[in-house]
This record gives sequence, C-alpha cells and structure tokens, in this order.
Amino acid sequence: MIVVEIGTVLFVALRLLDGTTVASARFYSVLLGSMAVPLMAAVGRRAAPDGWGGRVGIVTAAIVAIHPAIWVGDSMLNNETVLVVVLPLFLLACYRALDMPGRNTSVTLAITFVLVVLTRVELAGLGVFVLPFVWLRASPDWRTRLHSALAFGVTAVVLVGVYSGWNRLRLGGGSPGPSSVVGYVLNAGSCDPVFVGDYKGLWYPCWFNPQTATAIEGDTRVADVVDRLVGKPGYTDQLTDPEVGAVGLAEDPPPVELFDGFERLEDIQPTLTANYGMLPDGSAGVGVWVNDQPVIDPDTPVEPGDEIRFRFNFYFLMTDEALTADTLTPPTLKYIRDHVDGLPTVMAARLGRITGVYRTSETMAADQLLEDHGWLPSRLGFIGLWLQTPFAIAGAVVLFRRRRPLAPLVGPILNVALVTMVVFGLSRYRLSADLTIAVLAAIGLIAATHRFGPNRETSSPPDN
Amino acid sequence: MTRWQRTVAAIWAVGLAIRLWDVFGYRPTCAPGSSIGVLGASCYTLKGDAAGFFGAAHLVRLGEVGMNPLLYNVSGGRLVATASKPPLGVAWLALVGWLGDSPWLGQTIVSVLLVGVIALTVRHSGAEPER
Repeated sequence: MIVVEIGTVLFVALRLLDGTTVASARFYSVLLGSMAVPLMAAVGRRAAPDGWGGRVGIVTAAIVAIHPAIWVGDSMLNNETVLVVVLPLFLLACYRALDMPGRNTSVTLAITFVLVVLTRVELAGLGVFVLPFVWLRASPDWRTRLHSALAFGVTAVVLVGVYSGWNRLRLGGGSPGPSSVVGYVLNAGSCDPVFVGDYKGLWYPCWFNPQTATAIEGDTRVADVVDRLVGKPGYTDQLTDPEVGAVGLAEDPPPVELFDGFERLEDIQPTLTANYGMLPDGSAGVGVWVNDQPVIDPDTPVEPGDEIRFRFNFYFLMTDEALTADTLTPPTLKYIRDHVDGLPTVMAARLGRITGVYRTSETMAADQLLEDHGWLPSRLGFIGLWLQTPFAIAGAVVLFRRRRPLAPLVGPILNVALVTMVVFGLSRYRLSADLTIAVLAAIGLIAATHRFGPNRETSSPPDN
Repeated sequence: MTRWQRTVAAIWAVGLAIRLWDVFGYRPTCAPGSSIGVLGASCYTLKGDAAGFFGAAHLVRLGEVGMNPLLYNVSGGRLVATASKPPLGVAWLALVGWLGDSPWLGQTIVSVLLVGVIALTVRHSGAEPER
C-alpha cells in the first residue's frame, strides 16, 4: 500500500513537471540514482569482514548518500545515473559468485558485467582487474573454475556480440564494436594544451585545433591539400557534399524538436560561423579556408604557396563514425609517439587531476565549469575523496589481513587509474572508484573505531 | 523490517533529499537560453554529452533507435546511425520519456513498479545473509 501511495505521488509530480521535459528526466534520474544507497549498503555488508557487515553497510550507505562526487552526476542526464545502479549489481554478483561458484552465478555475473560495459565502455577493464580473481578465489576446483569461466564467456560474448554486430550492420564494417568513440576519446588527451600547456592532464577537443598547410606543385584544388592533411582521399568531397556533408547546417529546423527548448538553432548558428567561417551569404562554412577566406567548393582552385587552413567540423565528425575513427586515430597515435618522453609526466598529471592533487584550485574550477557540477559539489567532491582515502587504505589492509576478497573493491580503482593515465583526468570518470572507495573507507572507519574508540575490543562484536 | 533495514531506508531518504535539493534547489533546470546563478552554482543546461543522451532517447520514442540527435537537429532531420553513446543511458532516458508520453494509467503503473523495485532493493539489501 505504501508503495502504491508513493508511486501515485510520483506520478502526480511527473504530471506537474510535464513528463517529457528535461526537468522530469532529471527528477526520475535522481530517483534512480538514489538506489545506489541501499545497493551499496548491500555491497558493504557482503564485502565486510565477518561480524562487521551491518555497520559497514550502514556507513557505506551514509557515504554514498552524502558524498557529492557520487550524487552530483545523478541529475546530469549522462550515463553516471545508470552506472551508480548497475555497478553495485555487478559487485553483488561478484560476491554471489564467490559464495556460490557455478554456472548460474557466472551467468548472472556476465549479465551484470555487460550492463556495466554498455553503460561505460572503459569498465570492460573490470574483466581484467576483477573477474580472474573472482574465479580463482571462488573455487579450488579447476573444473568448477573452467565451467564458471565458460558460462561467463558464452553469455558475455553473446550479449556484447549482438550489440556489436548491430553496430557493424548500421555503421559499416569499419565500426569498432560496442563504441565508436575510442579514437575520439584518445584524441581528447593528445595535443599540446593538455600535454604541455595550461590544461595539462585535462580533457580538450584536440581535433578542434586548426591545421594549416601550403599548397605545393601539383595541387590544383583545395581538396588536394585538405585530403593530404587529413590523410583520406575524397574526404573534402564528402565534407562539402550538400547531401551528406556539413554544408548548410543549422539553417532548416528539424521535423521534431528533440531537446525541450535547448540546442536551439539560433544559438548554434553563431557558433558555427565563428568556428567554421562565415560565407558571403551569411551562412556557416565547413572549416576550410584558402588564404583566410572560407570556402565550401572542393574544386576551389589553389596555386603553390596558397595557405590552406582546415578544422575538423564537429557535426561532420558525426556523419560517418567509421571515417572519423580512421581520420582521428592515426594522427593521435602519431602525436603520442612523437611526445613519448613527456608521457610519464602527463600520466602523473592526469592522475593528479582526477584526484584533485595537481593544480588543485584549477582542477576544481575545471570540474565546475567544464562539467557544470556547480561550485559546492566541485569542491566537496574532492575533499570527500581526500577524507576517505586514508580510511580506504586501512580498509583494504584489513580485508587483506582477514583474507577477504579485495578484487571487487580494488579492481574498479585500478581500472580508473589505468584509464585516466591513458586518456585524461576528469572527475566523473572516477565514479566507479568512488563507489568502492566508499566501501573500503567504511571498513577502515569501523576498524578505526575498534582500535581507537572508547570501547576498544580485541575481537569484533557480532552485528545485530 | 529489521533495525538495519530501517536505518538504510532512513539514510536513503536523506540521500534522496540531497539529490532532490540538487535538482530543484541548487541546480534547477535553466530556462532555455538563460544561465542564472544559484548559490554560487549555475543552473542546469542541457548540453554536450547530456544533450546527446536526451536527444537520442527522444528519437527512440519516435521509433528511431541508435540515431545521432545532434546531427538530426542541425541538418533538418537527417538520420545517421551512431554508436557514440552507451545504450543503457539512452534506454533509461527513453523509458523516462515514455513515462511522460504514455497514458496516465501507464505512468501510474510504472511509477508504482519503480518505487516497488526501490522498496524491494532496500528490503533485499537487508536480507543478505551474514557469513
């Protein structure tokens, strides 16, 4: 009855908010995101040493409830809202597989793992940092381990395979499986501003940096020079094609308005002309200039010595994601190879960014302005992390000493560290680690109260 | 309910209150085209990745699954396939949008089910066996 009553209240609230608006989507998203509190309480209960489960679960729930780094993403309408629900389900499935190794628990584990990967692709790394340790620890019998791994593998391959296959059918044979943005993401951490400049370690749209070249003997049309810059013959023809290219964007309204009044064409139009040039008729260019004049005709004649400027067009990058991967990935990898000496310091800076210890105030400001997290959550998110860290380390030591499974809690932290070092340091990429740090910190806190509290105990009391 | 379950439920209520304060108090949704300062924070504007998720979910409700909404918006409705957004985030917002589009009875039923799932989660989390 209570459920029906609350549900009815929610329904009325939805009606008042107008069910298809951004505001109603945010309302429902925080409702979903709040489920992380009881779910992580359950994780804490399962992860804790014997006799500590109840208290660890409650402390974990409290941290997850109030820690801004965890709740700030719930209302952002990004994938963090879903992640705070599916990651605890995966962790619970890990503990179930540890308690009851076998085919059924492995299939459940695989389903939750795929849910996590289809929420944030980089969390596929949990397959390396968590799963092998779960199987090795779950059973001493190699036959059970093999059956579990097989059941997991078949389920995961089928589920991911269906989605990847669907993507290949839609995007063409060159599309890279479950996500098309790997090269794009790598590119966002691989240029001077984020490698050696003021934004070192942060995210930056590197593809947005203009490229220039001088026409040489043999170049007769602007497309010859731009295609050479991009490394793809025919790129300029496609870019300037009236049907599939970037000509005439933001001029005609879409049949259906998708964004509840946001992303308005009248706001986008000036940005396009500022970024890609304004043509004589006032419309936006495509990001190609000959001697500082924007052009949209690939056959525009050029002569040796003419200066050609080119900038990847944000919207054209969306028209063919396989082509975009082909054009962005090679120069990104080349940049990294050319700057390999600076890689260790950049990796350290990225880790410093995501933990808030490198250029702290600037990093907090980036979290506020780049991610729109607001002044308060941007500060308290990092402070909360720093406060938890010593307790989390203590919690990991306690688990290690008591021979409790560590991989489900430490694995996400290692995965975040690795991904951050490879791409860039943005705090919302830390979310999966924030959730497991909360559990480890809760264990460390309970251990500290046992050791230093007013009622010091030599052995742990049972939970009620 | 056990004492542990009641405690977790109470903490959940606090967590939900903080999140609702964020949505309605600290970072309310901006009127399109405006940016109001609220307690040192800006109001929430749909943009970037979030716009991609929200628009893709809207396209799903129109029957166009896996299409790029940002390109659709600026190109007069051109539909181009995308795999740039993980599907679960889009699926969630599509469900929320469906809640808003569907008849009142459908909304009520789904709202009740959603709250039921949350209630069961709280209950189940307290029922985990102690080793």
